[in-house]
Amino acid sequence: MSYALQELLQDLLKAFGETFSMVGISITLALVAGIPLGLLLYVSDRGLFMENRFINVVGGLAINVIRSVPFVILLVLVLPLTQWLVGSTIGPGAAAVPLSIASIAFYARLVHASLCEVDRGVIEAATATGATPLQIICHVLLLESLPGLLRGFTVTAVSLIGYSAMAGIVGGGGVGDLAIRFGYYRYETKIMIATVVLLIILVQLIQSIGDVLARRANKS
Amino acid sequence: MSELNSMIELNDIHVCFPSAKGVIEAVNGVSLKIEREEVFGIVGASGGGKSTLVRTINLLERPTSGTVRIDGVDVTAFRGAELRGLRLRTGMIFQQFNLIQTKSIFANVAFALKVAGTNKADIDQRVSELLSLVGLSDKADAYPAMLSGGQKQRVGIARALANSPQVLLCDEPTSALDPESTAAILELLKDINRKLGITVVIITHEMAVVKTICDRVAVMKAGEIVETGSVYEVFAQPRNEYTRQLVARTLNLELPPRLLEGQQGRILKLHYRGERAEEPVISAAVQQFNVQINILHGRIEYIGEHPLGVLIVALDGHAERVEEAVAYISSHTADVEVIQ
Ligand SMILES: Nc1ncnc2c1ncn2[C@@H]1O[C@H](COP(=O)(O)OP(=O)(O)OP(=O)(O)O)[C@@H](O)[C@H]1O
Ligand SMILES: [Mg+2]
Repeated sequence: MSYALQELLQDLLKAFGETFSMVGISITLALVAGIPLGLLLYVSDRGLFMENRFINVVGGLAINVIRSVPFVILLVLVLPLTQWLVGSTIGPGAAAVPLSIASIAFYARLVHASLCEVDRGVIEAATATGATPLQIICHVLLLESLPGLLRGFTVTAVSLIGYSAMAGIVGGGGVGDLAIRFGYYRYETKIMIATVVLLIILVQLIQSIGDVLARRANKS
Repeated sequence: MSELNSMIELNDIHVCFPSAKGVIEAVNGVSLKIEREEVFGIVGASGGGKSTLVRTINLLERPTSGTVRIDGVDVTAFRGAELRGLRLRTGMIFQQFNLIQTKSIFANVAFALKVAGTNKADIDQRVSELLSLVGLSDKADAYPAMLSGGQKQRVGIARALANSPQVLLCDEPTSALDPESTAAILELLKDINRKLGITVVIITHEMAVVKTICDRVAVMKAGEIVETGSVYEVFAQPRNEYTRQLVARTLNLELPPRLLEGQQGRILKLHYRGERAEEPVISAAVQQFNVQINILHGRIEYIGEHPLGVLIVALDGHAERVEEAVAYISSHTADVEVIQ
């Protein structure tokens, strides 16, 4: 083995640290921006309390446009924005920009889909009790769709790990970068396998936690 | 406001929905007065516009034209806080209960109070009161999915009553329930109407429900009200053909065809209306004209305290005597139909 175990561990640790920071930033933004965006898309739909055709169509279109651009292309497309926001196009911080954009759009769509599953009758009952739009959002929409929101969040987090590997290739660092550098360019198959195994464990862990939380939230 | 006002007054309500095939007139010029503390039924076939009409009362559906007055106040143009204030004063329950699945029974009822800005301590106390009123004190911590249909509807009722409304709107509250739960829920609604003096508007497609709890009823068909009256009037003397069919089906007044087979002589259908004067007339006819009488079918229903029913009898004997007997009975009773 041309590569000492200690070095391997250090590289892995650094790579995972970078991945976590990329994924952490973008998943947080997905949560902070994706939920309001999905909500806006939902409540502006026909027959709901903030019916607004313009917002509905434009919002839906924007999300679809972002989601239909292949991630690798999005990475390149937003480079000027990344440069302007982060001051660099290299490193996990820079990679977090396209990742965030993609995951906000992705999660917003999943949020919207979960909200569409909420029984309209329940919304109507809340309206009939005299609830304000905000009360309906907090006590009915978000609560009733919570299991779906949690599942969507899990799916988003898992997809983000995959995307972050791609981001790594164009200078983001992280696990994907490590695997490519050692496994592909240097033929260190063992290292590649080690990173893959770790990734599988990580994804499995996220999925399990997500499943448990979603099951807890589901009362029906 | 004033005792002179009707509780609910709908004036020439139209509700139109745009659709691919043009405009659907779901409600087509309905005017209606619902009085204080009565139980008012709205019956009719599916798609007749009953739900749409009732939803205009709390403006879940805004009428295309016409006015809605609640307690004398024109609320048609209410929006925002004013509209929410109106909704606090009008509770509503639904066929599918529409409870928040992810909230406990306690939280479902508490939500309605929170909406009204009630403070925490008062909410706790009021929710216990309401749950005990509907007989669900032991289910406070359960979730809707753990309850039976009848229990879910009780939660719906508790929620609708939370802010002490003047009006309770019920959209087919028992259509998803079995006969026992239906009876229990209807009794609870009647109780609430009597004890709390709440005006109840109830949509149903079952005349049986109307018969059980309503004071007055409107029959709705294709967006229009074809008949309104006290339940007894409508059952005893339906004026509209559609109402007649509805009533006949409920009272099961149709004679099985096989009963008519091989019957000699005349067959009469006598309607009971409150007083039961028909029997002496029949026995008098039997004695006077020397005909045989055979009771084929009889049924009496009680609507409130008043009996309502039919008697189908066959008269046989000497042909001329039978005709005389028929004429005699017809002239001495209010409503006789010669079937054969
Ligand atoms: N939001 C809507 N958009 C379009 N059409 C509607 C809407 N709501 C109701 N309708 C139409 O209006 C008509 C009356 O419907 P409504 O639900 O009021 O009838 P209903 O008497 O309550 O029927 P049911 O007994 O089946 O509940 C139907 O033709 C229905 O398709
Ligand atoms: Mg209906």
